[in-house]
Amino acid sequence: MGLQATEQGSHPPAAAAAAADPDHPPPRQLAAPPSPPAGGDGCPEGSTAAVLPDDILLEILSRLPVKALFRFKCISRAWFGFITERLRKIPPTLQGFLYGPTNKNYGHFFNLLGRSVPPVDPSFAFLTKLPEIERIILMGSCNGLVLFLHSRRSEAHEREDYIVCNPATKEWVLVPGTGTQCDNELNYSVTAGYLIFDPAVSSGFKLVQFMFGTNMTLLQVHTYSSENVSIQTWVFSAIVNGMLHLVARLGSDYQVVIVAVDEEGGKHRIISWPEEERGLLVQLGQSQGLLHCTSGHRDDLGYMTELSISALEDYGTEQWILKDSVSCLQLFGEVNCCIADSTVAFHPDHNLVFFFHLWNRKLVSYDMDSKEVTTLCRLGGWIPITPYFPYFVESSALVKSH
Amino acid sequence: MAAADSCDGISTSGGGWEKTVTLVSSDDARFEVREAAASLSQTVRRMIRAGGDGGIPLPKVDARTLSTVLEYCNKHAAVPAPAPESSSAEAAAVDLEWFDKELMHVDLATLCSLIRAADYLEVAGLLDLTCKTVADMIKSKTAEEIRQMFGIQNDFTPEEEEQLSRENAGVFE
Repeated sequence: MGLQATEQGSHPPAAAAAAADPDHPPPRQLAAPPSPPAGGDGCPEGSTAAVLPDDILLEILSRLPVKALFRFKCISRAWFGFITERLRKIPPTLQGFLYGPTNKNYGHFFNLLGRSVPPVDPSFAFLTKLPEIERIILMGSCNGLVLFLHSRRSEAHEREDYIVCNPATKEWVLVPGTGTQCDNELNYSVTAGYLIFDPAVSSGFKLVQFMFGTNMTLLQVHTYSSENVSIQTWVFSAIVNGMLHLVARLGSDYQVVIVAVDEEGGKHRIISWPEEERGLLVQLGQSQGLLHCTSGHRDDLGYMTELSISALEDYGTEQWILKDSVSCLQLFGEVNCCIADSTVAFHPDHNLVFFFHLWNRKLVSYDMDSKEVTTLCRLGGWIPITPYFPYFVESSALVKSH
Repeated sequence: MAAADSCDGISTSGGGWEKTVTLVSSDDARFEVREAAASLSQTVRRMIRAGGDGGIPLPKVDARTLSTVLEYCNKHAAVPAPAPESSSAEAAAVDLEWFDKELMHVDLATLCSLIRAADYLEVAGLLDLTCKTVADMIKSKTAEEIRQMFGIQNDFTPEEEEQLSRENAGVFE
């Protein structure tokens, strides 16, 4: 670590280099030099900061908001390198939730880190201001990428495509939908798209598109064909081990299973779910590298009084462990909840689960370690919520919005 | 500060008998410090364990910087750990926060010396405080202002700079 005994930074570079050598301490300072004027940030003519070792510069950069990092990229090649490295090291972690009215699902941001400024613009103005964008509806997000359904009114019918974007870098790309040309026999009615993106594995993303008929029978899957599997319902998705996981009911006996689809769409796998023992599957998610889910037993009216949190500890042997159970009373202060009071998200790094109650509109977090419930906020009306994980690295799979 | 010959001196400061150590700066100034305070530095703590006479030499920290570091250590080691949620704990936290804020009222060059000292002495709290202060100081500056503050040469070609500013335009607006 470099040493400079003087405070004024008047060393020429050679002296600074010598000072950095621990075996050659700099000349002894007999009297402290006078302090520069207080309050002055400026550090004229050569600077002590210039000899701050790289690891300390990184320490400082790690305390800067991402906004400033982007601005400082053009300071010098060295700073560009440090900042690119720093941005790469910020793993996508849960920073908050995007929410908004049901017809578009975005527009607001609840920041879990307690900061008043959202990490990204929740109005997605960089997309909506573009003339080619007509109407977008937030479908979900995955590790920093956000998926929108894009409706365009053409002459004959509405055409639906997808937009995949990274609001942190303002990059986006349009992905054509599988087409909603209405086939009389198949009678497509619902399309569902899911994103697969794991920056640790690949900088590219995959979009899996499902098409369902009016009776919610799966008709077509864009990235894989499910000849043997007749999926009749679906709930939420989770990415674990690079596979997209969906809840499905199988075949004629309506057995609940979890279908895992790999990102190439070539392979799929069915994971059984002990429904009799653990109850109805409510939500799937990923936490600490393991597939997690919430579930509950429903009464005759379809309400649940308790939710269980399970983790698929051994993917190979399909060993589900019960991690915790929590009552609706403790979670929401309500006697019961229904499946639509969905689990919002699983924290990727902590034993923390987020829930939203339909009636009292409370967004709460439940810490499985301390057994504590924290009410985060109260949202107005029925509001769909999407967890958001900022990811600041630019991608060749997306293009910049201008 | 009074000088001491041994690194295991005894002092009556604070009304009680406390173990002190002597730290020697790069410019041979000697500081007698309570061991509890000096031990906030992991580097000093290791040296105390290793033993030795005549004071602990700290050849990478000058007297002026060391005195500020020790001011920080004295204050932070003096704060007892009262029962959490008590009013005194709250008051102590407020007082400490105020102290830290005052300590950071220095210019950038002094801050940088403090960062390097905190890093070398491994005083985690001070390292965090100083890095955070510098980060706060620079976060709303422009790239050009940062170059001036730190004496950094812009080594991008005009074309590269143009491209960079184009790419970053609009991000986080």
